[in-house]
Amino acid sequence: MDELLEILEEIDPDIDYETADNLIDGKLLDSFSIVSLVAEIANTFDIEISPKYLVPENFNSAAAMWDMVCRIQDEE
Amino acid sequence: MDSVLQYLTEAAARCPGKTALADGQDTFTYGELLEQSQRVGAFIASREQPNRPVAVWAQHRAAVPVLFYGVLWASCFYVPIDPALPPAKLQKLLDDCQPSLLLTSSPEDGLPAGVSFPGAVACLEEAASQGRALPLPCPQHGPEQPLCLLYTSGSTGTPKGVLKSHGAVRNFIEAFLEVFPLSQEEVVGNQTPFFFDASAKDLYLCLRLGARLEILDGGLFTFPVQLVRHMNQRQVSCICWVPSALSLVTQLNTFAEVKPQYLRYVFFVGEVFPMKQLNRWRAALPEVAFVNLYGSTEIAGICCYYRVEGEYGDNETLPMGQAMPNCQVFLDGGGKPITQLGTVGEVCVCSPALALGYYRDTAKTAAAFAQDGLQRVLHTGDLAQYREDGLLVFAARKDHQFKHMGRRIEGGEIEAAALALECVQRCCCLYQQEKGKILLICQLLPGFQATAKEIRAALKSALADYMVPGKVLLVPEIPLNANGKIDRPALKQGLGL
Repeated sequence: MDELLEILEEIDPDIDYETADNLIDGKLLDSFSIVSLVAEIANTFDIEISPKYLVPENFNSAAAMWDMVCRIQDEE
Repeated sequence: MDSVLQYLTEAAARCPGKTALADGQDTFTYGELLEQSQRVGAFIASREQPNRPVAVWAQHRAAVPVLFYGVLWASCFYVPIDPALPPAKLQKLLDDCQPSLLLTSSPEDGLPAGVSFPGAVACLEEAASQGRALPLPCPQHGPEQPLCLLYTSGSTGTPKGVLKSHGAVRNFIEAFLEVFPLSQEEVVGNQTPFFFDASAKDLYLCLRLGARLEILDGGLFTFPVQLVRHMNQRQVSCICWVPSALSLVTQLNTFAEVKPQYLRYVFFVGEVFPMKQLNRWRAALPEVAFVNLYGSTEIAGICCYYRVEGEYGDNETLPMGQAMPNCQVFLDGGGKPITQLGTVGEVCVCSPALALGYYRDTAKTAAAFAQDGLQRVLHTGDLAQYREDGLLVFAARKDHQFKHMGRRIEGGEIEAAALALECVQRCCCLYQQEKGKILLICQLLPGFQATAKEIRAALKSALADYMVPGKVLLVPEIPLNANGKIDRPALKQGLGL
């Protein structure tokens, strides 16, 4: 989880990721941030994020992203 | 008639019931577009003199082009405003062009608190209903009539507005259709915002063809599987996007899930398309034509094009290509045209599609648009060279301008905003091409304390969102060269860039 928070800090340091739960719906992260985010997550955790995981629910909070990472790791 | 409105009246006569504009919610047929825009025009003409700027709150909605054409019916020119601009920046822009009317697509929209605007604000519904009983304006003007004023990044931080004419836009549209025979069956999927120069291609091509413009909501681009599904549902056949938008589709591996079914043409413009992502698009859609377009805000549309053919490795560079039939394009090497291979020169353009110039700035206009006998020559500031087959290949910029997400940005504008902060003594803006990241290096005045985060937050209220540096770095000292200017190579080396 700390590694994920580091990635997020790098993308936009002004967001409080511990509490934010509307990163997508609140338009805090834009499309270009998502691309960097997905690439960084895939690299850091050595997983492949297939397009079916790319839905707003999985990216609205750091917790949801972490949950997605764990699910993909379990599947692989 | 020299007006682009001729396209509209002809399309409305040919196919009044056909959808002209659609977004996720609203649609306008050609008949409705004509009627509504004429009513808006009548409303404007009842209170504005011809040739005046009219500001339009340019959200990504189908109603916005209705307002644009309304402005044109009144023989005025529109100034599209980015609704996300911070108040300070918005104020500068309004002070520069001084419109007395702002049009919005809905009554909820309007200027944010803190912006002073002595003029009136009217929404589409209000303007159209008031214009209903008013006499219909009949624009009588020549091709030189201004059509729109587009603001672009200025190196000193003062707004730089480029004024384009009806004649220039028409000249470009006719030339484009000569090269690319698009039909009225086309469905154009619009990605570029209406306050961004590139969107004019989508608007006026559709108007000329009587084709449908599908305005793709920015939110769709966050999760491109939804985007492609939406495009298939709307049967989008032709797109002209910035490479950053195209890249995110393949970067997120979208085509593994869904592919565009109706797409025939993919045009890209505004910046270099990373070859790796273009190759992924081409592999997924072998039947689609991919075309690199090269232009400049100082020209209506584009001046060069290259239809991608043959194989390119992921590290190769795509050419800018050849001149459009309405443009003469040459390379200037210090007053002499360059003809030999391998020599870099500045891209210059002669064309009836050149912009009129910078709004109320004759000095800047004279510097960029040189008079050569009877014709004007645009010096783009882009450096390029010829490839063996005679096609032009982009090399670099002459100055510190760069492209980020397809938008052009003057590093100087970001630096000027940072220097306006009390604590910043010296700063330098660098662009990291590979990461697509704007970096701002700052040296603080002795005795001042500020964090990188605070500086970035302050810049957010002074700059358009796409210009806010992704990262601010504080350094003890920014090196200067012998001339007392910032020593960029030394700075980069010191930072390990």
